[in-house]
Amino acid sequence: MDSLCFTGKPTVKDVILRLMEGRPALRSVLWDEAVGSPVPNALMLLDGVEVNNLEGLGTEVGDSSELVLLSVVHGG
Amino acid sequence: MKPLAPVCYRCKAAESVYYRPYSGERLCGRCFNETLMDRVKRTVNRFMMFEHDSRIAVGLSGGKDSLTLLRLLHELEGDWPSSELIAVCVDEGVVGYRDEALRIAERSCRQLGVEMKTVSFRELFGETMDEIAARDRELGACSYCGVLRRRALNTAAASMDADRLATGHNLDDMAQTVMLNVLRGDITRLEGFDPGGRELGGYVRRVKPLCEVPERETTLFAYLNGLEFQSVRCPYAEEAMRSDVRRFLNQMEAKRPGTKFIVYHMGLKLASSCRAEVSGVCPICGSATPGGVCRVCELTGRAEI
Repeated sequence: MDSLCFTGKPTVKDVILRLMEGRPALRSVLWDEAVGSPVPNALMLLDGVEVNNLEGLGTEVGDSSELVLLSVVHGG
Repeated sequence: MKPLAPVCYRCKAAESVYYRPYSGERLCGRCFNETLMDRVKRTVNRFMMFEHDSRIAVGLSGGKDSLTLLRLLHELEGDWPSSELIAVCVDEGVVGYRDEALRIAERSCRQLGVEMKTVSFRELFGETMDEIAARDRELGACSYCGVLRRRALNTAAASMDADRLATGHNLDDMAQTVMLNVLRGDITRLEGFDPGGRELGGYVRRVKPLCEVPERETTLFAYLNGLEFQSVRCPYAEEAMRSDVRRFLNQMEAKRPGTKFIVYHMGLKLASSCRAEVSGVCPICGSATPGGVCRVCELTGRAEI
C-alpha cells in the first residue's frame, strides 16, 4: 500500500491532487480537465460523510481520517 | 479529528451524511434510505408500474443501479405479498467485464433468495459482443449492445413468464435520453419514454422504477448499504454523444441543482404528445416493430442472409 505524507493539515482537494499524481486511470474518472476540478458527479466521503455536507473540497483531512472516492461510473 | 456534520433535517437526531443539493436536505444514512424508498414507491404508484400480483423480472447487470433496484424492490415486495420477484441477466460476452458482473449478480440473488436466469448473446444471436466489436462496423459498439441487450432481456423475462421487466434506468439516464433526442432533432423517438412502459404484443412491459433517482444517489445507496457492485467501466463504453450530454448535464446540475429533474419532466411532456403505433411484425424474426425488418435483425445481419 502506498502512503502519502503531508506537512500541515491537507484538504480533501490536496489529498486528491496528490493521489492522482502518476495515476492516469484514477485521474481520468475523477478529474474534469476542462474545469480543473473533480468531476461533479463523483462522490467523496470523509469518515462516512459526503464532503459537500461538510466544507466541500476545502474540508480538512485529519491524521486518522478515511477518505472514500466513488466515481459514478455510467452503467448499471 | 472527525469533521462535524450538521444534524439530519428529517429525523433531527442523527448526524447527516449527505447533502442533497436539489432539495437542500441534509440526511443521515437511515433517512436517506427511507426517502429513496418513498420516492421509488411514489414513482411505482404514479406510473402504475405493477399489479398486486405481478411477476417482476429485474434486469440485473451487476452494476450499482440494477443491484439497488433489486434491493429496493425486494423490500417493497413485502407490501405486495402476491407479487413475485426474479432476476434476469444478459451475458454479452465481454471478457474481463461481464463475467465479473455476473458473479456479483449471482451472489446478490443468492443472498436475497431471488431466482436468476442468464441468457447470452452467443446463444441468442450467435456472436459475443467482443466478436461484434471486432467486426468492421459502421455504428458504435453501444448501438449494437443496446439493441441486442433489450431483446435479450425481453427473451429472458418472457421465458420466465414475467409480466413486467424492471430496469435500473436512473434520472441521469432519462435526462440524457431527452437531451440526445432533442439534439438529434427527433423527439418522436421519445414516444417510448414513459417510465411505466406500455403493453406491446410479444414484449414484456418494461418499467423504470428508479427514473426519478439521480445516479449519484443509486451509487450512494449501494455504498451505504454495503452492496457489492461492479465498478469497472465497460471497455466499449465510450458513446461520444451520450458522454458529451452526460458531462454537460452533470456540470449544469452542479451549477443549477434540479436541472436533471427539469429535463426529465420536459421529456414526459414531449413523450405524451408523440404516441406512435407499433403495429408491424418483423418478417424475419416475427417481433413487433414499427414496420419492416426489426432493428435486431438489421444489426445482426440476418436481414442480409
